[in-house]
Amino acid sequence: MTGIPLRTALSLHCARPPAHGLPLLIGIFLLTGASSGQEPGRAVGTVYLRAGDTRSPLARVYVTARAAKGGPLLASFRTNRDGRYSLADLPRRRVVLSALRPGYYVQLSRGRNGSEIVLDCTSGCIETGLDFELVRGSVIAGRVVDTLGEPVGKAYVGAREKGKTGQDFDSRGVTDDRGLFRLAGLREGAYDLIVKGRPAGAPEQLRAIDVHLAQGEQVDGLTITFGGQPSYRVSGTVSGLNLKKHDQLRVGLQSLLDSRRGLWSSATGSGRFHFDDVTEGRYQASAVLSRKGIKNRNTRFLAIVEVNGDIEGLVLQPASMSTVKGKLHLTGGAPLPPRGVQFFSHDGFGDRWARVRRADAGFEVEDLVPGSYSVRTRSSEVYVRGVRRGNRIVSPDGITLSTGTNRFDVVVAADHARLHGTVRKPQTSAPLPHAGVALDGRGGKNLVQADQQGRFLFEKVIPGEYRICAWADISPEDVDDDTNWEEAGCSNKIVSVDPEAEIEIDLRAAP
Amino acid sequence: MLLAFAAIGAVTAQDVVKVPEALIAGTVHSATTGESLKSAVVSLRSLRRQEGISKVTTSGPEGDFVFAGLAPGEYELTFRKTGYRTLHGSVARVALRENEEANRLVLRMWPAGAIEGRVVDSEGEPVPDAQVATFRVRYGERGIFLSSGSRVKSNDLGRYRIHGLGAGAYLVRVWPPREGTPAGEYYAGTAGTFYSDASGPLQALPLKVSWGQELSGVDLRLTEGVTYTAAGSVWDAQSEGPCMGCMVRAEQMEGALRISLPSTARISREGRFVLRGLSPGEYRIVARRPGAAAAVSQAHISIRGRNAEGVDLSVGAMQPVSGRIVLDDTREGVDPTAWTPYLSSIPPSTSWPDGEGEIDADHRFSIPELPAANYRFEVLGLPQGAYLKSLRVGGQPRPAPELAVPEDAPMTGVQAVIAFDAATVSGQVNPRRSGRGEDEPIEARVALIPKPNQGGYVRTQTVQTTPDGGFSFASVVPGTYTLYALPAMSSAQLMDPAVQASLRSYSRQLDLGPSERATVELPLGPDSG
Repeated sequence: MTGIPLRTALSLHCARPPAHGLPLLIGIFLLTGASSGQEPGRAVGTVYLRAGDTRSPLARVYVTARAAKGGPLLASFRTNRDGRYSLADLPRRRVVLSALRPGYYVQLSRGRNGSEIVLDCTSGCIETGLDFELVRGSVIAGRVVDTLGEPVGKAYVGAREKGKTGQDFDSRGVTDDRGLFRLAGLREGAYDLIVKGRPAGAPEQLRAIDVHLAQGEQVDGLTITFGGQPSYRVSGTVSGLNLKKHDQLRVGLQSLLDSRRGLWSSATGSGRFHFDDVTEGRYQASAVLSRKGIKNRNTRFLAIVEVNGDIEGLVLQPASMSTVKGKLHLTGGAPLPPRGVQFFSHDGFGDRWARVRRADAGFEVEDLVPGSYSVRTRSSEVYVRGVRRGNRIVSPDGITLSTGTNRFDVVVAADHARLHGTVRKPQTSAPLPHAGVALDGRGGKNLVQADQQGRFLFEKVIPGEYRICAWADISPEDVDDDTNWEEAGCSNKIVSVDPEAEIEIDLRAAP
Repeated sequence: MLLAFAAIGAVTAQDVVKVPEALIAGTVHSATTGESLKSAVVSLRSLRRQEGISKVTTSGPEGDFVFAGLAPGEYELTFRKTGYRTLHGSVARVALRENEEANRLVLRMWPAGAIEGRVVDSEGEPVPDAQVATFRVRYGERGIFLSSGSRVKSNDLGRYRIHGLGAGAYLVRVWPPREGTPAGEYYAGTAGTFYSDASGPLQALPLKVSWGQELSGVDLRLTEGVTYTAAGSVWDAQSEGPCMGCMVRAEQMEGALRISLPSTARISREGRFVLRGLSPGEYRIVARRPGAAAAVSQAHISIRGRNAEGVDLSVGAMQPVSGRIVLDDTREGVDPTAWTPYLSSIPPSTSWPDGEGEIDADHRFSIPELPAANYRFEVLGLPQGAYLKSLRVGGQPRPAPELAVPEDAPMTGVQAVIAFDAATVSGQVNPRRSGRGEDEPIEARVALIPKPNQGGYVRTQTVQTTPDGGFSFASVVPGTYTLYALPAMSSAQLMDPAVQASLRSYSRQLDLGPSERATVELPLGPDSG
């Protein structure tokens, strides 16, 4: 501790109590709520465990303060035996508090729906009673075995809320050497339990199991048997490829349910192929031509194949594909070009990433299946403003790629806007603290919580048109439900956001 | 129908296609308990490259498997099963004659070990998302070293399990949860420990794991303590700017032991980096630029009671190495242009690039640019009987085949002397008798270990025996050696002097002169060292 100022030393103790002898000190500290007036801000509260109609203090919850949702960490504290926490030395700015404990989820914060508490500490703040209520999450635990009852190791198990797609899992894990897995911290609801693995001797298999979880339910001892699924034989011929220049032709079937899952068959010289163990589903068929000693391979998309029984005599031909060539243009104060641009298929063909060349900011991506795409960038600093085709700049969502070469430039910008304001009570003009405010437009629906003065803030808003709505109390799940927007009269509440705009807007919360 | 018969009648003897009828069948068992292993994945591969035959089956309820309809030839089997070490190699090779039925194969798979326990903090509370790693204690020519093993995270209950371990001694280390996880922010700056509650590897308690053994209750503790940061910059000497794509990581050095820390730091736009959570000690900081133009740089720092600032690294500053191959005597048919001069980093590291060069008709060699570091020099592709006898730099002999590539100038004037009078050692490992009086199949490794103080050119060599116990070392540098044979799955660390002493009665001493040919019979050492 040598050389550390006393005040910093005290706040270090406050932020993370040392091993021994300090609980009493902290207890006194919390009870008195002592403030010297020198500290910029402090937030104090209790975290409870909700179980039915009762609640009790919950220890070992990590309460963090950030500048914004997902922003830099300002302070953290783990609740003590009484569920109490105290975050000291909060800077003079907006602060977002959240409570996290693995295996649990936040149901109420400050008595309202939502997982966060927003504080306005720009003038300093000493806030008490910032309570969270957590609920013990449900658990799905079990074992993956093959048809002989032997464990299937390294099987991937993920729980995905019904209705979601892609890799957006609520919890995921991998089986160990005993075939055991454990997924914790799930909310009540219906899930697809996706299990992917390679039981002994069999090709990789994918199972989707319906699971419905009650609140806090512990589903233990679930046994998932792999290998008993019916599988089908798919055979046929690939034609229309120049096989003379290549030594090897392989035909692949990639599941559209999980793009990382592929089956491969070495085709004969005349292009005949067969797969013996194809489980039911939709697959993208492709051909890979290669030559010995040459690393580069020629991959051609063939067709979408639906498998729900044996298929014989399938004739596949290479489809005409799309190539995109273009350049990246920086506008609107974009500081640096992103490293690449992404093309998301609207037709279920996944996404492709094209590297942007440093020398000329050009990019090129080949072998895209013709169809409708959105263009995005992974960078959080810039966004894709549009796609330049000729003299027109069109929306980057829903661009159509035709066969052959498509030439267009991608325009990126960093001229995000800020949208802020105050939520007021429905009948009066008084600010409504801690209301939920949602913005619906590019990038989907985004929910923030207003602070104690009813003020809310959306940062880095991509220019465009948005629906906006405020509710006195709403959960993230309910925001996704359009009927809540309709009932709140927000269906047509449109706000137009210009580049670099600083928009202030007052909202009346829905009753 | 008549036409069909006519067609059949017209078939000549030349047209008849012979259906291959050889088969390979057997059973697979646990090497420790003898129980039959069901659901093992058994794959078969023809060793004739042009055939490319491969088949896969699964062992049945009695551990039985069969591959029928095989053509004559040599095949290799591979056995895989969850919880067991993969079995392949010389013990699983079968040579089939026409129509031969090799149907009595008995294979043994070794069950892997596991270590499990809880991670708790200084208050005894479980820590989720903590990072737990094993390090296997090994012995090499330079003494004891640690090799990195599996890494896992503790679950929401603070529990962890590391599996798939071979027999041996392990250190187990825990680090706090990564920053960005809920617990990571709370435990940021907390020091990790070795089992049990040791701050460094030298104080850690090694855990001995036997085949199939599960060690439970190996609880690990995150301790309160002061940790420090190492901060600095990484410069890309080729682009003459901050090395934006570089990653920086730290390796803790304690004596000869090296522990790679799990966290890495990215480089900011200004070229700065900060590595956090370093407890007091000695560290090697390594910056690496990934990709096709991979480049690395290193710095050694000491953290004692304060943060390390100004750790400035420059990647991409490379120097070539050149010199000449000198033949110790004249040999006909020797073509040094087919050989490859090769430099590998000391200590061996997958993150550090190796260098390989070419030799021209005048026996001059050059190795393209390498980052400054110490390297071991070898010549690959030498013919049987040839070996690297000595290395000189600027006319000065080196005690060991090692080069220190400098930062600021090319390394020139390296002379590598190749001699052709290597000794050979061949022999037979004697099988052990089973309880039924039958010879057990031999699955052994034979090690030729030099006696101390003979210089760095006399090196340890290891070979696997053939299934009948035969072995051969083709090019042995003349010198004095001890020869050992141990079961292939033995966990004994032969380079450990204590293990050598315990195996003295199983060893053979060899004093090999130039071009000497030695034939040795060796007893097979015990399963555990």
